[in-house]
Formats: sequence, C-alpha cells, structure tokens
Amino acid sequence: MPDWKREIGERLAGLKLEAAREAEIIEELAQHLEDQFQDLIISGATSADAYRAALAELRDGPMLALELSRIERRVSREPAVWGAKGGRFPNFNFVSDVRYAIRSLWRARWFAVAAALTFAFGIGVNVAVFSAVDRMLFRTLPYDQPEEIFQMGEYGPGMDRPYGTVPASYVIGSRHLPDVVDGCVAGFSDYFSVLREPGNEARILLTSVSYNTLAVFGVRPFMGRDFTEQDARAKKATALISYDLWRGRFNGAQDIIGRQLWSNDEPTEIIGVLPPEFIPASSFLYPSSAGLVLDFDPLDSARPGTREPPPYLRLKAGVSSAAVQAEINVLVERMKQAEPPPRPGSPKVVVRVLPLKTVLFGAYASYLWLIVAAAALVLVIACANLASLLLVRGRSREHQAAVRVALGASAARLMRTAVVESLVLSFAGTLIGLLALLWASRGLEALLPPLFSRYAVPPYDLRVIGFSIVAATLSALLAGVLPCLRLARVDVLSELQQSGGRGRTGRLRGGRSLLVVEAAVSVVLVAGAAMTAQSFVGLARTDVGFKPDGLYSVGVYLPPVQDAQVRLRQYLEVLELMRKLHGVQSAGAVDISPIMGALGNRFGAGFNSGFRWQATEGFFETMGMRLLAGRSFSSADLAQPGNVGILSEMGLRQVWPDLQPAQAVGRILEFPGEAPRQVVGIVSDVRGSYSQTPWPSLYVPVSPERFRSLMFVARTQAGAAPSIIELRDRVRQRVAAPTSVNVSYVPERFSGGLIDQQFRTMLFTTFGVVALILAAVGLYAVGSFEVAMRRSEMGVRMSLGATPGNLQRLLIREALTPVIMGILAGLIVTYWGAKFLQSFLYQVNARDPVTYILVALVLIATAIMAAWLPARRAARTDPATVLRAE
Amino acid sequence: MILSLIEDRPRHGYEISKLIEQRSGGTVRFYVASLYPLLYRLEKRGWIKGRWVEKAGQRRRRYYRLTAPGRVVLAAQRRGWQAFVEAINRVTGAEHA
Repeated sequence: MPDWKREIGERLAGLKLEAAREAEIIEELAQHLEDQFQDLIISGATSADAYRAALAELRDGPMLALELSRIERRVSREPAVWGAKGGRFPNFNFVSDVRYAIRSLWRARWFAVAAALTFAFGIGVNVAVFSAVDRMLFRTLPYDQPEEIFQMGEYGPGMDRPYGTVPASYVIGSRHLPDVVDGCVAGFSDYFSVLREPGNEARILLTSVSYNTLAVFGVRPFMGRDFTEQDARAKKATALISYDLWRGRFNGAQDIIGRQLWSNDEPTEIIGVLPPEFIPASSFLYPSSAGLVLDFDPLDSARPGTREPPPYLRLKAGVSSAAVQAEINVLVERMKQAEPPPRPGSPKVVVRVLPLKTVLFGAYASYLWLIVAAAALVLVIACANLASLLLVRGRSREHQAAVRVALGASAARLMRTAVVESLVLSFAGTLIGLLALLWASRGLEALLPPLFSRYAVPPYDLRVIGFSIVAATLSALLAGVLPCLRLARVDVLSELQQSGGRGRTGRLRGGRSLLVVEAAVSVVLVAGAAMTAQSFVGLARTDVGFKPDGLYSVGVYLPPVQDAQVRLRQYLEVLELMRKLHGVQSAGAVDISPIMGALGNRFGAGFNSGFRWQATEGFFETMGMRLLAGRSFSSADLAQPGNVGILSEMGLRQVWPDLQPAQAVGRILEFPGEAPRQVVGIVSDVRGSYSQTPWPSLYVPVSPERFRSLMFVARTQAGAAPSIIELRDRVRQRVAAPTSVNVSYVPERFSGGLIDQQFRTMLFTTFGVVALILAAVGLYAVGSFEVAMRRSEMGVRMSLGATPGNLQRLLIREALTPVIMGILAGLIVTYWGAKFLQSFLYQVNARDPVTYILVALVLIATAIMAAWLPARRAARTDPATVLRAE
Repeated sequence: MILSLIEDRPRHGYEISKLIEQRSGGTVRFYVASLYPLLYRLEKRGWIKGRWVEKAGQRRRRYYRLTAPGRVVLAAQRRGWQAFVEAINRVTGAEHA
C-alpha cells in the first residue's frame, strides 16, 4: 500500500503547523487518498494507475500548502470572540475585546490615526484648560480647613477687589477677638528681590509675612522650623524658602537650614523649606513666590495712619461669616476713632470679611468659566467628530455585523465591540494629547499670563490624569452611543443577501445631525475667536504714547533728609550714576511715574482734571515719548524750574482747544497762586495702561519746593537690565546708603493687560482652529462615505446625462445643508451669549453683524473644501464601470 | 453547496467529494488540494463541525456536520441563490420569448 502520509507530509512541510493539527490533517487527507485508491482498484484499475490518479489529487500541492497556511495561521490569530474555546456563549472578556478592537483598528490604520489625532486635539485642549484652572475653580486651597480662612479688606463703592491696605490697628484688633477669630496675620506683600550668589544674580519673588502665617494657614514646613514670635520681636532676618527654590537653586541640599539667603545684598537666615504644594495666598498675579521672609509688622500697637496689606483671619470652627462680620464692624467703629480722618471727597469705604477663595479668584471666576465652557465646546465637537467617524466605520461594517449576528453574536455583544472600539480610540487620543502637552508644557508655560502660570499644575498631576481618563471615557461612551444604536438595528437577512455593500441607501442617518452640531459649535468658537482677536488687535494698536520695550523703572529710596535742596541734589546725583551704569543708554526721572497708573498732583483752575508731573531732562527721551512741537527740558531748565512747562496733547486741548501744537509753543500758562510759565513743548499723551484713556498733563522741571522723591526710568541696550547690585554699591559710595533699590521691567507690568488679551486671543484662536479642523474632518469623512455608498447612483446619473460639474454641485449642495443649519443655530447661540462675552472685549461689539457674516463665510468655505474632495472623486466615476459591477 | 450536502447527516471528506461529483454529473469536481482547505475554512467560521468517528472494521474518519449558525447561513444563501436563479431565468426567459 502506498505511503500517503509521507506524500502529504512532504507537501505540508515548511508550514510550521501545530504538530497535533498537522497529524490530523495528514491523517484525514491520507484517508481520502486511500479511499480513492481503493475505489479505483475496485473499479478495475491497476495499482499503478490508481496510485497515479490518487496522487493527482495532490497535484496542486503548493496550492494546498498555501491555502492551509492562510486558514490555519489566520485561525491561530483569530480572537476568542464568539466562543472560540468551543462554548456557544460569547466570551465576556474585556481584555480580549480590547485586543480585538486594537486588531480591527490596526486593519484600518488610517482611519484610526485620523480619529485618534482629531480626538487628541479636543481632549488636549481640555486637559490643558483643566490643569490651568483646576486650582482656581475646583481644587480646595492647599491649606488646612481652607473654608475657615477669610480676608478682611476695605472696599470702595462697586469694587470687587479690596484696596491694597487696611489700617494696621484693624489687624492688631482682630488678633484679640477670641470668640470668633483663632488667628490673624497681616496680608502678604510680594516683592522682587535679587538673589545674590557668587558670580550670579537672579531676580526672584519673595513674600513678606507675619510670624504666625503658617500656623494660621495650617501648614507645616517640609524641613526645618516655622517662624516664632521671638524671631519677630528680635527682628531676626529669617526666611522659609520654597520647595522649588530648594530643589532648583540649592540642589536639594540637606544642610540648607542655617545657610544664608542673600537677597538684595542682605543676608537672611534660612530656617526651613516650605512643602511642595504650598502657594502663598496672594491676589497679585506674579509668578510663584520663591519663599517667605519674616516681616516685622507691628505686633501690639501701631501708630495711627500705619497701614498693612489686608489681613487673613482663621475663624473659630463653626463661626459663621455673618458673626465675624458683625464683630469686625464693631471693632472697626472703635478703631476708626484713632485713625486719621479720610481725606474730604474720597469715596466711602466699607470693611468686608470674605472667604479666601472668593478674594483670590472671585474676580476671575467668570473669565475662567468662559474658558472652561469654550474648552467643553471643543470637546463636544471632538465627540461629535469621533461619533461620526465611528458611524461611518460602523456603517461600512454592517455586513460583517450581520454575519456575526447570524453566527450567534447578540446585539449587546456587537454594541460592546463598538463601544470598546470607541474607548480604544479615545484613550489613544488622550494619550497622544497628554504626551503632546507634556512635551509642549515648557513652551506653554512661557505663554501663560501670571494668573495661570502661578496656579497651573503640570500635565502629569494625578488629578489632571484622572480628569483625562474620566473625560476620555465619557466622550467615548457619548461618541459610541449612536454607532451602537445603528448596529443594534442591523437587518441580518437583508444585509446577508446583499453583496459587498452596493445598492444600499447613501445617506448616513445620524451623521448629518452630528454635522449640524459640529457646525453650530464651531460657529460659536470661531465667532469668539474672531471677537477676541479683534479686541486684541485694537488694544495692541493703541498708541500708549511711549515705548515700553527696553524700558526699566528703577526705584532708589534714600534715607530721609530734611533739606529739600540737599535731597534733590542727592537724587540728581543718583541719576548721573545711573546714566553711567553698564548697558544704560539713557535715563531720566519723574516724581510720580505716569505709566504705573499712579496719578500726579492735581492742579490749576481751568485745567480742572489735569495732572502735573515733575520731570528731569532726559525723561521724555528715555520714555520714548514723541515731541510734537518745541523742545524738551534741558539741564538749564532744572536750574530755573519755575519758568517753563511742557503740555501733553490732551493738556493742550484742555487749555487752548483751538491751537495747533506749534502755535502753543511760547505761550504763557497762568495758574492762580503761581508764577506764569512758558510752554516750551508739546508731547504725546501717555496712557497708564493699554485700556486707560490718557490724562491731560503738564510736565514741569523738578523743583525743590514741590518735590519729595524721584522715580527713575532707564533705557538699556537690547537684553541688558540695569544691575541693582552695581547701582546700589555706587550709590552707597557716592551719595548715601539707600534703604532699598528695585528695578522692574516696564513691559512686564505695563503690558499685563495686553498679555492677558494676547493670551485670550491665542486661546480662542486655538479653540476656533481646532473646531474648524474637527468639523472639516467630520464633514470629509461623512462626505467620502456617502460618495462611496452612492457610486451606483452617480453612475446612473451620469449615464442619464449629468456632467461631472452637475454631480459636484449636487454633492456639495447636499453636504452644505446640515452645515448651514448648524451655522444658523450657532449664530443664534452666539447672539444670545454676546451679553456675557461683551465684558471680556475691548471696544468690540459682540453683536457686530459683519463679524457674524465673516464667521459664517469661513465656516461655509471650510465646508465647501471638505465636501469638494469627495465630490470630485464622485464626479470622476466612470458610469460604465459602476453599472457593469451591478 | 457543501453545507447542503451535510444538512441531513454528517459526512466525511471523501464522501462529500464523491457526492459533489455524482450529483453534478461530473461537471464539478473538487481535488483534495481545494476541498479540504474549504472544509477547514467553513469549520473555522463555525458553520460546520468535524469529529473523528471510529466504526467497526474501519479506520477512523472525520465526519462533518452542520452547526446552528451554519444552518442560518445555509437558509440565507439558499434564499439568495434562488432569487438569483429566478432572476437569471426571468431575464434569459424574456430574451428567448
């Protein structure tokens, strides 16, 4: 008898089948050949003929091997989906579901990449926003029982933020209200200081605090000890440095306690390190403080008129805010008697006690919520987009779904597959989003205005990751619902009877309503972006009257000298020293800086809302103010300060409304009780901030009679900052030991409003662009799908005489219908929400019809582009090919 | 076609190939190289199920039977096939009329 098994075995060698399985196949095939061989023998064939005939069955040996390899190998990788382990019941295993989803997505790689990437945009925006606002909106403050901490402040009429100080007697008085208050600390003052170490200077922000601050806030030092009352009474210069400063600048040195912190050239003993999560409560939006320095505020009594930053109170457990407010009102009435009476005409103030969180973030709450809402809208689009992509995919797999139902898969089983797929995509997107954020976090941090950079948490923060997971899961479920419902309604028999997917209706039910949603939300976001951008451009174009870039404001405070002549001479000497400093191009001085929002001294009849500033020569040039006519001050003017003056443009308009600048030069300006003054020049108006209107101003040369101290401005070579240490040393040598020296970069403070607007613009533009991209992808996906489904219809139309142009127009028109519905809905929502948006805009009407029309056009243009690509493909359809395939 | 052959009772591979050859009057013939891969594929899809059966005096053979999902598929395919044949008949009949 021939050895069939050997013959077959040879042909199967190299397939590397599982040994048992291979033996089975060989046995079965050998049986077949043997049967055939026997039959042929019985019917009279010779043994040799029968052998040849039977072997002929194997003549396609390579074919056999190929076929088997396909089946057997694929089988070995086939997932345990509908009971591969032999059971009839589906295998409810989440892991295998995920594996299956990943495999089936892998087969549709491009689809998966597109879906995950678009979703990454949506989720990335949300995670970024969440990490920026979490501390301010959702997280409890990093103190013990933060709800018991309140701030006492003086509020002017209609103000939502307190004045910078309260009488010190109120602070001291609050320490003695044992029924309601457990502890009270004077408010913190942040100040920039120079950290001096051998060979290197760095500007850091320090916070000066009362000795019992950590006790009242319920925070323990991470290392070392807290301040004590003895430190405060002994006026011992001590500091607790921030965790970041310790890790960064001191490399986490274990022997940090007892070392010196050289700030502003003064040694301060480091007594401890603050815990990493500690942020000193401060409504000043500077970057994070590098440490706490003990402030020697009055402990027992204060001279009347002394003022302190608004204090923080820790209420006794269970005391209501109304109770403490009542006690404080009584205290204030009592203490007010000793305080100097308010200046006549100053607004009436009330003392209010408010919860810490309200004080810190209350003023920004609506702005923060606006950002959260906008980000949530981006997520809605991302979900709608994911849903429509899944829908398209689900629709093209209905045939497969029907087969699976036929094979015993339940509807629930199918839906689970769809949801798991949606989950896999959303988590992949979230991972991409998080990694992108992590990668970009350095760059993003630099863009953040102080409000956010101070409180933002990094993307690897546990709460942020938790938020991402929750958001991704919810989005996936939301996005998976619609495709799921579609799958559950699959008509098995009609699906199975159809071949391949031709002849089905071309519309994607559900997909179009998703497009309406995407378009509507996009309109809202794009409109928001357009309006904030307009607002920013308007603001940035504002002529502030001087050049902030490269300008430093320098304060040098000298010990008091009675003789005004001597004092002025000292300040002018400092000015001369400053001009010689390394890197300084020019310098000037003014009694009160007009650019820091402070007001000069009022004066003059007929000039009743004007301000007078005393300036030195070189001030206008250093500021970069424009001289419209005449000349600026010279050193000769300082010698004869009473004779001349320079008007600002608005000042000119106040005094001589009809004169051109050139005509006013040389005229005499007279004010009651003053010697007449000749106007020698007209300069540009200077704004106190980008959104402030300028004041009518008169500049006069500094004169000993009126002057108290001077502020300096210095313009330096690009990139250079005046060195505090150098300045301080020189001033000490030549003039007198200054009490303090500080330097601030003017754009840093002055452009605050602009940076905020710039950030807002960037934020909303990002939202708008992401929205447009997502909407375009959604539209493109739905459009491509419909075109593919309707190939035969297109073929018929073309054979009936439609031109490619006709078809393109038809398809684009159909794609635009839901988009236009969405645009209308979105514009209505925008119009309705305009009232809310208006408060964030500068000189822009939130209901400007031109903006609305432009936004609609942008959306329509995007939609046409997204619809045009698939439409063009459809128009290229060859009717003969399509109809033959039918 | 194979599904319908094992609808009533389980059959082994050689039997199936013989039946096809006989019923089609020799027009359709499966070689080993194509028949068994097909059977294995159907089995993997879960439409048929093979089982080794030993009968007295014979070597063991693998018998294939139709499974429940296989029955559903067969029903659907029959209907689809009939519809197709009818359509073809109608079309070609009309041509000849």
